[in-house]
Amino acid sequence: MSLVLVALALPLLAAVLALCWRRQAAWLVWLAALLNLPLLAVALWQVVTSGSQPLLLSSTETGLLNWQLTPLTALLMLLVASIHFLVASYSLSQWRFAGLSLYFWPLAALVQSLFFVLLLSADLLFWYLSMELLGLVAVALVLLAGKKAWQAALRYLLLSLAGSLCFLLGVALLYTQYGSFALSELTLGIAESSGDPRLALWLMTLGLMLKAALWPLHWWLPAAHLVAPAAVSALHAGLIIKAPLFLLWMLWSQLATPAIAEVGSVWFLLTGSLALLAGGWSALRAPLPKLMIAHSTVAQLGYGLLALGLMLSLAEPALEQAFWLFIMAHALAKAAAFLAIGEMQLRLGGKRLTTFRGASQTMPLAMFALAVAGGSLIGLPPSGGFLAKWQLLVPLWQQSQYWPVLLVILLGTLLSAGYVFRLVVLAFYRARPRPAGFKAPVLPQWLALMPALLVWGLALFSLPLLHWLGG
Amino acid sequence: MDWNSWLPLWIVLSSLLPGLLIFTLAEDRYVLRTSLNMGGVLLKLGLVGWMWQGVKAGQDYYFELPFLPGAPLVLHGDALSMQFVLLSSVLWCVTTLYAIGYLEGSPLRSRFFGYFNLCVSATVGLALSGNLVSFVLFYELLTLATFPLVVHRGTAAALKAGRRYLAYTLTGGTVLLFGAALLHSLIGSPVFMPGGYLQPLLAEHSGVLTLAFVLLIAGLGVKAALLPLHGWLPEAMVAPAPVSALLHAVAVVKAGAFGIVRVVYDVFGVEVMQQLDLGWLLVVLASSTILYGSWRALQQQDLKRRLAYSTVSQVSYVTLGVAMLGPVAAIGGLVHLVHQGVMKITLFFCAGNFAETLGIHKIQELNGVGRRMPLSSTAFTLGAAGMIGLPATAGMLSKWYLATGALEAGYPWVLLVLLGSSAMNAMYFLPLLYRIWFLPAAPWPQERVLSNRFETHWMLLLPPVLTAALVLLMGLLAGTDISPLSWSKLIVEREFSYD
Amino acid sequence: MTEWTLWLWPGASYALPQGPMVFWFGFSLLLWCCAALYSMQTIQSRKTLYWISFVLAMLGNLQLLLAQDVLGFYLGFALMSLSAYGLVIHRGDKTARQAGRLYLQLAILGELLLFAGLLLRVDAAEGALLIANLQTIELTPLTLTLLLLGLGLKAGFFPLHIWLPLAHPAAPVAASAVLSGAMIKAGLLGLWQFLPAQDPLLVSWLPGLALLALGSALFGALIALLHQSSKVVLAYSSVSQMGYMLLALVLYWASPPELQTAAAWLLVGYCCHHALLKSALFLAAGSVNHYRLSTWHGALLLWPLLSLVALPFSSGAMVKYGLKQGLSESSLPALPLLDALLAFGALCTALLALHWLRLAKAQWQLPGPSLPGTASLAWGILVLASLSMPGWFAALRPQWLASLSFSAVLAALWPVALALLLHWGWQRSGWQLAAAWQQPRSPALGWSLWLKAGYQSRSRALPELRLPAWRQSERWLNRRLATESLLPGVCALLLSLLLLLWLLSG
Repeated sequence: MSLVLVALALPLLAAVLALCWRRQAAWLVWLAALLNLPLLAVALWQVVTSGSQPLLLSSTETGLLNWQLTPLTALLMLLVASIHFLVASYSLSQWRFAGLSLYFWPLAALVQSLFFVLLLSADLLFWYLSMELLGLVAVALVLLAGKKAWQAALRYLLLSLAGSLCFLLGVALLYTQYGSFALSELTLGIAESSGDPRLALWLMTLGLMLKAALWPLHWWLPAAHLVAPAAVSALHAGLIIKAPLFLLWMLWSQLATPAIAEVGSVWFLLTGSLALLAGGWSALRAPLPKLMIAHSTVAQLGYGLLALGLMLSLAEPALEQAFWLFIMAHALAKAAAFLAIGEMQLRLGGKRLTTFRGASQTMPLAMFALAVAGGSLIGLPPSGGFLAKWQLLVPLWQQSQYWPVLLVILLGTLLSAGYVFRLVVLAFYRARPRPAGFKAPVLPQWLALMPALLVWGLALFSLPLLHWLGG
Repeated sequence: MDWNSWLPLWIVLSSLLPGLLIFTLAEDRYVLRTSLNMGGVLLKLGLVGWMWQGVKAGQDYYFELPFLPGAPLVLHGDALSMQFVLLSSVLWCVTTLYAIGYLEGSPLRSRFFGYFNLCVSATVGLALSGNLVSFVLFYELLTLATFPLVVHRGTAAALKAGRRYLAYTLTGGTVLLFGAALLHSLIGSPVFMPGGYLQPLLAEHSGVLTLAFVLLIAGLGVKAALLPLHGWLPEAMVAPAPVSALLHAVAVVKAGAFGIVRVVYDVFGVEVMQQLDLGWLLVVLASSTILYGSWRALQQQDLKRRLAYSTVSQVSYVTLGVAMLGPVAAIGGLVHLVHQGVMKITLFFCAGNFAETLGIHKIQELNGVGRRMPLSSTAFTLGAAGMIGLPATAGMLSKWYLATGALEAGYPWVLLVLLGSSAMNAMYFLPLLYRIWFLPAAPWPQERVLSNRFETHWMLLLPPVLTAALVLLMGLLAGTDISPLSWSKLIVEREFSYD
Repeated sequence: MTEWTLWLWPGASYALPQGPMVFWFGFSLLLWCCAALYSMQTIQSRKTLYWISFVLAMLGNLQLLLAQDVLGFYLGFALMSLSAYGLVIHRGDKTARQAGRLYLQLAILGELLLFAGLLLRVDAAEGALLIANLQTIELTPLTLTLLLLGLGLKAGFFPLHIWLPLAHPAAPVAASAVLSGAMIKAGLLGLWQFLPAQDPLLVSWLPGLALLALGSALFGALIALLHQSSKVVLAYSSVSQMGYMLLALVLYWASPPELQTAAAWLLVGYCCHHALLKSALFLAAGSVNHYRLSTWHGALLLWPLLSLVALPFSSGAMVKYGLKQGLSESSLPALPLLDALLAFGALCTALLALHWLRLAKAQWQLPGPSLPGTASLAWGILVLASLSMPGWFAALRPQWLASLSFSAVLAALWPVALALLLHWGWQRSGWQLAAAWQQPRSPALGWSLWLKAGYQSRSRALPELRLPAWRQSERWLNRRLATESLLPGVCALLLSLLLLLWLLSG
């Protein structure tokens, strides 16, 4: 079990060291990320073979630190580590050229550690702390882009703080009512006592939705993505906003009583549907590629909300799998998309959609990465996105009263196909002749392609994956 | 290792792997690329031939890979899939030759041939797929693999067509996916079987089954260019000639038509179709498509566009034959799957030859081509004669079986549809032949000398000549064991003799 | 034979001709050979086109004679009809193209009708594809109409003749010869083979058909008199003669089983007679029009004409007598004035022959190249065959002998004599028809043009695309939402949070 703790400590150590030796910062963080991969893979294998294990850091049974490693968390940790590693490798391969600040490295390493803490811990206080810190780190990352990012970063900071505040309020309310931060005890308490967790739950939900940029609290996201460097966008869309989503799922699946769940289900189905449609439409009409992908994030998170809403009323294991698959597929696909777009914008010079004209000839690999990632966003078989959508569709068809959701999914899929191919089609124009010296380095493009290939690989691996995700 | 169960996978891989390799090749590796292309194609042809004789002898080829819960990825070689696999691998062979000649010296050949091979892999996979989920998978892959070919020229018009193509086919694919998910949620995704597997659900879920049927047909109808969903096809003719040839003859429209055959016979089955009373819906749809397509073809002045509308009309013959739910009509539909492919590919090859050699795109420019390019023109004539359904060509046989089947299945008015369509076919093909053979030549729009010995480059000339010969042979030698007609009879025998 | 038909299309079956069909096959083959011989030196332009069409049409014609199954017949029929288009249009000028267009349109129409008819027949026979199997299946009004129209369009009797007077003159003479001699007979053959004799429905239609046949016989001959081109006159004569042959066919259908063989021989004899003489006449017309002829050609020119008007000793007298005799013995309901009508028909035919002779005489010995030897040979062979037909066509010898009896000779001669008289009188008086009646233009060409307009519409210009108006407003809304809604939104959110807190503490 200590493997996981080592994996948690390694990036932290790398971050501290990177602050000391700034010249070697990049290598240090990259090395930590690389080392984490085998560690987490072994940890996953262990937890899969021998079942979930509690991580008791203190001797007391009801201590503050009753962390737990389940196959799900191990899998998510591996995902975080791999995305982190790929982003780090990408940044390493071209950071001199991209003019990325040296502070990127410690911050990126911190993201990984904090995320691990959040995944492992099962109590509200740690969740609050790690999330608050993640939010601050994310703001700092956005600020790396320099002066032009100030305004967006400031807004982000403001909203992030407001979200955290809401969450904290909810935590405090629960603590005053049930006297504990631990999720398991809270579950018990809510089941037994007559206290009313409703206000706390909704407050926390509000905070989390704000931080995860769930519709309708998503306005800050596109602006932040627009200014952030590619690597930061990839980390942000791939990892950082997944943290509140993870919490949202844990809270509602554990704490909600049936009565609350009923209301929650309607709310999530509603917001999820609207997110899919409104986000998809905004993405379809977005004038800049990064903006498009940001809006697409808003839309894709709608699938997560739908899965959550359906889970609350149907309690089908397939829906839980669908939720986690959406998270994983989206994380990988977004990482690939942002890296590919960043790389292309960097080399081809331009921020507008028209930059991509003829990209299939000038930068075929990066464009391919974008297309492949887009395929998963649409849910084309056999990608991870398809797998998730399939798991969502099959239980839905069995419940005929949910036909409007089916319609929404259909429309959402079409919208996503619309915006993805809006970009891809441009790449197939005949390219204008490039200057003689133009040569796009291949390595960053391959690195951008990797997560995209991974997300399509998910489908080949579907049966064990579904098994680990529960159900 | 059981060789037989791996054979379907090898057939798919025999073009997939060369395709992936070709992507990595530099533009100037002509010899290597060509040998990869032709090697893959010939290897596939050999494997398919082997499988063909095995299936004929009653052997079963079954390959399974875990994919979704309860829905593995299945590749299964049965009689019906062999019809399509054989068609696609034979026509792919000639088209590869044609494409090599056609694209000589043009840019982006590695990309083109890479996708070209992906496309055949997807088509063959689709033909071999053994359950609905695998079918959906390859159906979507086909869309994706074809798109770069459609927009290969990279012009604004090509991109416009490409967008439209995607809008239609992706929507269709999504709808198909929804239908497949619906059926999966009801009964899972068992292997396709003659007579279908939905019989147990009939009593309770007839409404849901109808919904599923509508979803599946709507999804497949996009590619099969059924009436309200045909809009992408005439646009997509901006693609290079070999691509148009494939789109119209084998890959895309046939995938849709083949899917309809699968859904009607192997998912729903004739009995369920009859009890749900769904056949007539499809018959009406197909008939109106046939007439509408022919009618629109009459009005086109652009050669390829006219051919494209003709495809809209002709592909629905397959749907029509299948939808009438009678064995004889089924023979007609299934044999037309092959016949239409060979005839239309001939026509598109010839249109491509005219365009490449003489710069001819409009119908008015065809005057007197017959004397300048006699072999291509002869091939075109044979293809057109087949389309009209003139005797001695393959088209006549399909028409005959369709019409007899229509009478047998109790749709006498379909005879009128067939006659009307034949008449219109004659009206839009015979004036072309008249211009080609009987009018004096005008100066060509843009003549290029591609060969000193033949009328055009030999790689452009050989494919249409071969396929035109096939059109004739399939009509004349229909009684032989290897003719598509005999094979269609075998399929129908197997599909209608379950119990 | 059956061994390799297994490889062909379903049901394919061939047999060597037997009985009367031997003669049918024989005269068709002879005609094609003679036409080929004639063409060898007379066709100077567009040779490839001509010969390909010629050979294909010949193959089709012979194939349909040998085929014993429905699809084989249809194949030959279609191949023949469509390839003949190349012959009709060979000259390439405007009239040839117009005639060709009409010919092709009607050929395709005929194909389709025939296809439908055959299909319905085969379906009624539960999929049996041999022609012999269809003989026991009853006709329905629909199939009978379809077959009559589909095959009749090729056979060219009134009123389905409209393509014939246009196509024959347009084609080169050798082609006209086979067209008129062999190809239009194929339509008649089809009717003969596909419509079972003694079928109740057919029998009930026979009087109508007989009237149609007589009408065609008279109409063709009369209209021919209005035209001034020798080939058009011959074409109308074919229409007229096809009427007689249809009558012979009706006779066959009406005859009781024991007389059927005789009726079949009569039918084949008539076809053979007409095929030989008409092709010889066409060759004559072509030769007269384009070449300088020697005197002995005059004999070649005259004999078929004499046979046409059925002078004694000719094959014409033989078949006409046979027809008359058959009609009088048949079980057809007695037509009033049948004898008178037949006599009137003979008069018209004689007038037509004289009219044609006058037209040919006008062309006689105009300056031009002399007729090539092969052409003369072909012409000569045909005339010889026609001349000797009573000798070798043994089945009709009794009729021939009977036609030499005094009363028969008298009956055959008086219309000719009357025609001579009338013609002489007409020439003397110099009387002319009103101009409106001269060379009537067939309305069929108008219909053909109308049909053509249907399938050759011009492309219309596409409407211009415009940017939809909503894009402007969308742009505006985007800008608003991106920049100005953020802070108010955040403030509202924080305020609502404070409100919540306050409520909670309260």
